[in-house]
Amino acid sequence: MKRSATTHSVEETRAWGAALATLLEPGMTVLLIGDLGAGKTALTQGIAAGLGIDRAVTSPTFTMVASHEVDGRRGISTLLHADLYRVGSGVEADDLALGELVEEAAVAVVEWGNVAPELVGHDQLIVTLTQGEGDEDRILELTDERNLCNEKLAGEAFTPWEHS
Amino acid sequence: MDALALLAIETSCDETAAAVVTEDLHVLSSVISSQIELHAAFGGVVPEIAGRAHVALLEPVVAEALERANRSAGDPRIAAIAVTSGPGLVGSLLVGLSGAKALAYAWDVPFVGVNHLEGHLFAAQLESEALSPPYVTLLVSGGHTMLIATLGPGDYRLMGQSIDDAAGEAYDKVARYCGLGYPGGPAIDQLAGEGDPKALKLPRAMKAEGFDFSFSGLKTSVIRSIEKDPSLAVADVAASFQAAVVDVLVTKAMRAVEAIDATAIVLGGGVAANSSLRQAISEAAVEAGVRCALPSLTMCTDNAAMIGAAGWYRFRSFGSDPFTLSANPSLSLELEHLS
Repeated sequence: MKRSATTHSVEETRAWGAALATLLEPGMTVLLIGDLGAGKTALTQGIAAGLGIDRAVTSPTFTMVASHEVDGRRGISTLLHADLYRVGSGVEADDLALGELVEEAAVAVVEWGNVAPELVGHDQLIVTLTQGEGDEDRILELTDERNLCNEKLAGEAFTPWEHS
Repeated sequence: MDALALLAIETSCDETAAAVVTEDLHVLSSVISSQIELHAAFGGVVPEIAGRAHVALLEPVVAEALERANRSAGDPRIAAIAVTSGPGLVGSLLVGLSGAKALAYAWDVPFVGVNHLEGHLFAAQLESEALSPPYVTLLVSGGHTMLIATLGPGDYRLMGQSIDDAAGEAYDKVARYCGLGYPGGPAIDQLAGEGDPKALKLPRAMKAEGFDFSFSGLKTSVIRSIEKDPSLAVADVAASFQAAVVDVLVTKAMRAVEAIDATAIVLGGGVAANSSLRQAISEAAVEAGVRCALPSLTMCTDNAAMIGAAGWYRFRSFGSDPFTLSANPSLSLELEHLS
């Protein structure tokens, strides 16, 4: 199943992220695909807020993986925020052992996830972010290839997203 | 030659580093993995990111540091072993921690965990006369953008930090987008000298008040400007971008100096090598009538000598740490019992 939406500000992108958080179940990974400045970190900040994380979520480009504790709502204990921007190849990404880090009670958000999609397990959602017409516009497209979230996507919890 | 020294190990991110530092903070040796010829021994490839590289590099780097300091393994003139315990990449931190614990156990010497950020705060003191608190450190690198107040020995306050991208990260991303390669700081710095800093109108996010930084919007704004006008001269882009970054960094640093009535402003981190930042902060310090400490590039970037300096302070003040001390990827300066 797919959903897409257009946001018109960083704040709106964060709000979509918070809506996306309602889809997440323990063990799931969200791959974010988009160019520099597309809003990947902003979207992750929204997901974090949606999971109830109140500490600052910053770009993990340098440290590559940041771990944020979640208060355990819906069985999720940890948000792993990874960034493969600096990773040159899948071999190097393999050293990050992302698949192993996503334990039973964790969810992961992977920026530049297109670098190594095979490394993060099967329970994944993919979000592509592209520039819209206006400077601040972003087109967000969510792909749920394995239909992990059909019920929630169809239900009211996710009404902010338009069907496409 | 007989001075008691401390062996320090730093593996929090990309660099594998070891140093031998005496109690009066004289650096007997400081070795960083990228400085020594290891390519032959490791098949020509030294992967940057993996803890695995630290595993391969730690032993030769430590051996080199000891040799240059004229110390042997288990030397009675090694008083303790200090090691970075956080913040940083957990896999990388664990390699240094495990190695330091093993050496401390084998040589029967105390073991001391050091906060990487506290190491940066001590770096300036290895090269210049002691700073008198209160003073402000502007720590700017690929991973950090922070304003830290040192109010007394071990008494730190995080005054502000980036809420999104680190300053050095913005440099690297803009440079990569402009095709200037990695790392991007030196390339942009050099080109900026040839460009017009007013060619592009770029945002100075959060400049008007407070101590926090935001560089994500600036990065995006630069990219949009180039997309709209691909004929823009790269030198003008570099000059305008650099002017925006330096403007915000210096404005906030001097605001911090004023807020705590500091005696000095200190630069740290890889971006502290930036010529425009060094010049602007020096001028601002003169104007404000405070001292300005600008450590050399090797002392600004990750190194083990600064971990040795901070290690001595911790060892003298708090003694050794237990072998149960574990890596903490998000270790904070303030929450620790440092004061």
